[in-house]
Amino acid sequence: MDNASYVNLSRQSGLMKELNTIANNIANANTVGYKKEGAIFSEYVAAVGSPGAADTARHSLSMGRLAAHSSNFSDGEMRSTGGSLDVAIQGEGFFLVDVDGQTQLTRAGHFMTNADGLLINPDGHAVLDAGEGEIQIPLEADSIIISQDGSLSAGGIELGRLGLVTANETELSRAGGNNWISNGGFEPLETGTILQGYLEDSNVEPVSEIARMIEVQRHYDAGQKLLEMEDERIKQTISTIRQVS
Amino acid sequence: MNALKIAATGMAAQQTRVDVISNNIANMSTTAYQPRVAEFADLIYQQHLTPGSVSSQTGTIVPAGIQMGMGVRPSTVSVEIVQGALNPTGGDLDLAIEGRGFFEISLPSGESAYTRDGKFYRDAEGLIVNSDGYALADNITIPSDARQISISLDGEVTAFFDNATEGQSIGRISMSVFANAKGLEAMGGNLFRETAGSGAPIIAEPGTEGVGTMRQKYLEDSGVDVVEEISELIEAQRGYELNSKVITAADEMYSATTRIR
Repeated sequence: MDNASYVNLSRQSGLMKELNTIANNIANANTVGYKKEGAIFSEYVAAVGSPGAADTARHSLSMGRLAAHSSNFSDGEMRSTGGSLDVAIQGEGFFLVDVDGQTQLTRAGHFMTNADGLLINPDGHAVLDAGEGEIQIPLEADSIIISQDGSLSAGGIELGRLGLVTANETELSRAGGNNWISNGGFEPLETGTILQGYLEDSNVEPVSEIARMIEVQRHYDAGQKLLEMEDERIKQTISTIRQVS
Repeated sequence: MNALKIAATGMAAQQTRVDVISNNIANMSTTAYQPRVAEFADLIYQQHLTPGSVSSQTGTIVPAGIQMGMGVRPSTVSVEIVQGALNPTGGDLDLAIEGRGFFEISLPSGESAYTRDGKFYRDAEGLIVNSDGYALADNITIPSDARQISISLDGEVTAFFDNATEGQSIGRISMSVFANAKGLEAMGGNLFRETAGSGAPIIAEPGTEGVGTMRQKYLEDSGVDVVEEISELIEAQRGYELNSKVITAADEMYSATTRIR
């Protein structure tokens, strides 16, 4: 049994995964509406020794494993862009986009119109209104006003209202392209505040990510040292046995 | 080896940002240049454990799941058609558009291109052309004996001659608008070409709603805000450095692994 090495290995592979998470956060430090993620580790306990042997205290062996990724939904900074179809949500809430028939959630409000005047996101997916219908902007609409509750109007004529929903944050999974899939459905949000001409920046704080990265690196080094010592110990044992025999 | 690849996508993204910023700064004095903005999106996630999966026989549900991010990609480098400041130049054939319209230019190939750069000249035949010599699509020829040219807000071109006080109309400059001006393809030379993303041009008379008006003797300045660009540049540079730090860290961790034996 080489338990010490296995326990250590579980930690090392966990740290490698955490580094990937940090790398992903830093890579997305300028991604509109990106929410930083963290890694949560849990103990995985395995019993060692034969069960039922009353006289021997059972040892337990605790391994670390990556249990979950957490997402931090705190607001990112508001970046002024001046774009009439750039919108940011202050506080909670998500916009709705239609990705190949599936309604996905997003905080990235960098919208535009397509050739037919349909409101779309940069990947060409339609942005949906409160009733999950598409939003049409008339070609002659000159200056579009988006009010705090998400109502779009041009020249005093109402054009629709951006769908704003809330969902259970723990049931959201990341879909890429700044979108989220809600596994537990979503509810319309009546009290959201939308800012026109702003985009919400990523909420990644590079300094704390780098600090975490250094921490991961040092822990990894310590783990490597332990592996080396364990290796040395086994080597010595083997050579001692060889000399004795 | 994911961390290395992820950080590399991050460095590539920041590099894209620096490229876009440097192009904006290079065009800080280009007539009617509209600054470009690079926006990013996260890449697809590897779903190791989807949130909401059942984790026991009694139906307990995994609250957060394990989703491994793969980095970042540029989602758009879009151009925001914003109104630049109008700069008085005094030139008879200097036109600035107030609004969201474009001038239509006939390329030598017969295709049409669109521009907001209203710096026009007359060629040897009196035809109104842009600085590359491409004709304005409205094909307006200025008579050689015209004393003065006046262009109204709605694009009416009037020539005044020495022997008459009344001007004489010699044509009208039209404007084109697009459903999605961000979808236009930049061709260089301040010209844009229509694409499936922008939609077909809608030719409209200047002065009608949503099109804009024409200002004679003015040119539209570049919309680049240099202070904003420089602060963006610093941000991009730091972002690049941070991603390179991740590469260093990942590299050191891998080398620690190989050092064991």
